[in-house]
Amino acid sequence: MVLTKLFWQRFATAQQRNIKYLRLLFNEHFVLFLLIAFGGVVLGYHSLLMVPASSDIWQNPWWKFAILAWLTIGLQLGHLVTYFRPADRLFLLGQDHFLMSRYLKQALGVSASFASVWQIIFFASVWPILIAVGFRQIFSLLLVLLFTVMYKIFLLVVERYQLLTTAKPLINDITLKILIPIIILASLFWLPLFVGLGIMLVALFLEWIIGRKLNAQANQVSAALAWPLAIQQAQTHEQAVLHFYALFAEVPQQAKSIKRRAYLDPLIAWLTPRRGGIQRLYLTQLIRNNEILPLILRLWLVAIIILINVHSAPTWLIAVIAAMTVYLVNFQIYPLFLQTRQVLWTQLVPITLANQEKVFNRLLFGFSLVSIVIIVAATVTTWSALRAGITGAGLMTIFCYYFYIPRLLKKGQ
Amino acid sequence: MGLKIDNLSGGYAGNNVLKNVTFEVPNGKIVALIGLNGAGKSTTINHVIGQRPPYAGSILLNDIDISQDPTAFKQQIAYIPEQPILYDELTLEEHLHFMLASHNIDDEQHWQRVLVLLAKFRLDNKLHWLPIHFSKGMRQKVMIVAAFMLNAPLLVVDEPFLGLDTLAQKDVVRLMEEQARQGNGVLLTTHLLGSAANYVDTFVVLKDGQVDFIGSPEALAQKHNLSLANLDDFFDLSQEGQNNGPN
Repeated sequence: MVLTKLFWQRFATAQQRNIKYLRLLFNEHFVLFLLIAFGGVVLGYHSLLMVPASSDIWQNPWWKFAILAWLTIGLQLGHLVTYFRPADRLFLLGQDHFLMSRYLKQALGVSASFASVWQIIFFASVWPILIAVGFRQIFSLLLVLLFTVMYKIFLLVVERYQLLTTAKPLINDITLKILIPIIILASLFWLPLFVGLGIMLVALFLEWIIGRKLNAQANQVSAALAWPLAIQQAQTHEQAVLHFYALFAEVPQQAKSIKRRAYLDPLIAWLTPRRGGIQRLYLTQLIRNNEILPLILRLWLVAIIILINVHSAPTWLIAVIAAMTVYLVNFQIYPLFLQTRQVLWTQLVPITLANQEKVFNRLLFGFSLVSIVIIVAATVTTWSALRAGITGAGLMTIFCYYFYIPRLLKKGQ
Repeated sequence: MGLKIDNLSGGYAGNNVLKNVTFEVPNGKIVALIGLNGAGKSTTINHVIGQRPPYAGSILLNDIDISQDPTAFKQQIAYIPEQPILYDELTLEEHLHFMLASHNIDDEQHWQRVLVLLAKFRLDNKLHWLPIHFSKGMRQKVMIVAAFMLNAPLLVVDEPFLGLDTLAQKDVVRLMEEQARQGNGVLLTTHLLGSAANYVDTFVVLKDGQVDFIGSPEALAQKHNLSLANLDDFFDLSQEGQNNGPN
């Protein structure tokens, strides 16, 4: 293996994995649901932009706060991607200078490209609103974009500097990543234009000076990599990417995150009176699993918000949303069965596979019923919406319990 | 009665690792399965615990055939794997309750015995811990407690001493002897023949997936002109024999 090509080899491997997961993701029905939701958002945004610039709606000062928040959120996206692995600590131990001067330079280049694309997307999405609220000079608009891109690159340079053993804390993360960009962008929104632009230009100049200094330190022959930090940073990033895919598809290498949630023990005991039964095993795992449970709760929350907002929409749409909610709850919990089966203990216990499947399907049925209750609560104010919601969710519950889940469980054996 | 393996052929992914393996673990006896890496010990264990179906032959435990009634067969087995495997989401106490319930053992009546075992392995104050907080040795101790608390007719132990401190190793040996005294069979794999000779009734030597020798520690030592204390040299001799073999 040629060491100078190491980063690009790892980059290529990571892209292959991304393509694999994207293919998986676009096969899943959840994405179809998201595309519909995205279409709805685009439609809503389009209607908003149809409001004439002279309308009072654009005079609301909250628009500027919203844009500020949006651009600041954009700045949080994109990290230094190093692809470091735990074994590197051993195999690349004596390669600090190469790593700092070549490997991490390549990593910085790639990370900066991706992060810049994010900034452009975030900026482009509020560009029409910026114009509507008064930013009509193309120069000032482009300067906002230039600032966000340059500041993001500066944050990545800082991130690389922090991987040095000699790195000293600059300022705390909140100040660096949130407060400073907010102050600079706010100066453009609320101060006279020339003052705001002046502040932004000074900020860009300072970024350039500090960035150069940090770069020089990283390229010194004496620069050494803080391995535990570098590996932890790489693993955190990898897990974040896998976590994103796991929202929509089953991701095998994802590290499991557990939360004890002891306050829910009485609820588990109440719902599963038989201590040690397999029902309790599934429910306990579900409640303490930090991936599935929050996902289900978010799903219920989104369903409530959507159903409350579309209660006067055509009934078929409400029925579809209700059915989709029940379907997604089942679909998201299903991987728990496979995860449990993979634990040798489950294979050894003298409980037949058929019984394990039956108990798991019953658990899913319980969650479908809770979903129906939530749908009822969200649609109760309108009789037609309530009827459509119950019909959609009820039919999907029957479909999942009698056909879909048994088929999935058989397939997963 | 006990475990009877008759003409077992098996393996994984189409590889025929075991060829006509036949041996017994009578009730009340400790049998050690020994051999070099790749000899087929783990494959045999995997067939015995029902992880893989045999290609041919039969595995019976107290006259219950694993292929006929795997659930009733597994009800009679307690297993300590080489690598501890636990549910990340369950506490130590919940693991033990689950194991008891899945073996249809009365929780209330049995719990006293469980507490004694937990105290023996110094886990009694960690009942509410999740596996993430356990060291490798502690995880292994959880597996040991879970297996011994069942008092099952057959105890299957794969490399029992890995990751255990000397105190725990001695306790495991004592517990295996106690199991045998109570009339249960013990099947274990080990590489520590010298110490195993002190408590094992029968050695079954596997070589290239076939049974090469069955007999007492004394008989094994005698066959290779070794003393019981030097039985650990058996693998050296066995390897030399293989190297000097057909050229």
